[in-house]
Amino acid sequence: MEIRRSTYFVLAALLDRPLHGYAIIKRASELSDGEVRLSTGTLFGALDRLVESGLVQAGEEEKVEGRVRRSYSLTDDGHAALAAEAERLRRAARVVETRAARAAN
Amino acid sequence: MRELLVLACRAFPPEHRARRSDEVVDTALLAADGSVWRVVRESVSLVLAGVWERVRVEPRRSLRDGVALLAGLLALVNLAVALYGISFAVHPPPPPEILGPLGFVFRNPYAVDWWWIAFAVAAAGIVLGLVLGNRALALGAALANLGIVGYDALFLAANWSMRGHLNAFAFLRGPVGYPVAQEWLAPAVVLALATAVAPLRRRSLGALSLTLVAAMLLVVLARESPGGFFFLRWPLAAFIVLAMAVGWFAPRLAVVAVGVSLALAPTVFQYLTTPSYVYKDPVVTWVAAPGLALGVLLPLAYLTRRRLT
Repeated sequence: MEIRRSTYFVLAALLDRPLHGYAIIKRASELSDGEVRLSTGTLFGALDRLVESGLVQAGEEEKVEGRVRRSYSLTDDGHAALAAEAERLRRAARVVETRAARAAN
Repeated sequence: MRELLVLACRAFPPEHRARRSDEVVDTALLAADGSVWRVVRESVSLVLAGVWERVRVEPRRSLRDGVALLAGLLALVNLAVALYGISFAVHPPPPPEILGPLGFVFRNPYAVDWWWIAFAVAAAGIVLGLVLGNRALALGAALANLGIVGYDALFLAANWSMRGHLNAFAFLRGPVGYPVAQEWLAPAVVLALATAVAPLRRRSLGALSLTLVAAMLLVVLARESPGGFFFLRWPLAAFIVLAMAVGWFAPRLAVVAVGVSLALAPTVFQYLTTPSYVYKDPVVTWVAAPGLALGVLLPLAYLTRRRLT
């Protein structure tokens, strides 16, 4: 199953530890060197689908400094799906790198 | 800025956390970082995500949700017809020489009849009952509405010698008001059935205000159209076509299409059986009957398939 780029970075942002919505946006931007700038609508759309498909687990709602937030964490299926996608991307990149190297020689 | 984001979150379905908690709005505010431009951008993204979420959850809606939508739609049009009748469709005022209780000349600007008053009260009762989630009020008003419309259709419109309503302020003149056409009986029946079956939940007072605004808009449009509420035939036809196209994945629309088609059936039947010397639009003549039959059968087929699978 191919994962969209924005969803890939949402999953990648959750690899280290559970994060809340705004922290996911910032972490995804850092991991992608600023290429993926998630809007709130895109983030929560992706989280809805990921929670529904069991790749991400939503924690309890809490109030911190007057703001409501909720932590999201990767499930085992989420880890597996992310690893599979990373491997797919690696294979795809290897095809190009190999051919490019042959062409250069 | 927060208000704009809260408004944008209304694009999400009512049960979504964007509507039930501040989590999404608070996250959007943090992401906007105090910039008005970014708040606008976040709002647009929330509206798009909300609409997409509505499309995504639509197949999971129950048939009874569709009945609730049908009841709401018919209650809105019913209220608009009542408001139109009580405010614009009044017949000429009574002569000004009627004496008031103290012997003064009693000048009536309007002659409103009892029937329209009762109809408007019942129509308002249905809308209020649906918004408050009060089944007893909604269903009681819908049955009263059916009785009022049925009285007109069966005893007045069908009986030319007894034609007319009693006036509220011109009782000395006897019955002079004109009854509504018999076709309105079918929507009243469908509305009463839908109100009896629909799952009701309490809505905000904002929903009541929006309903009143929508009803008044319909009244104004009906007043500006030569055929009164006949201008609704095109949007309703478009709606039925839409339901036929997407009813396979949106069961609520299929239910509404069936209900609206049944409510419109007597109007179409009367149109088609009108004597041939009266001008009839050939497109409507050829399209109305098969379109209406499809409007019932195709969504019914979708719903049957959904129940079986």
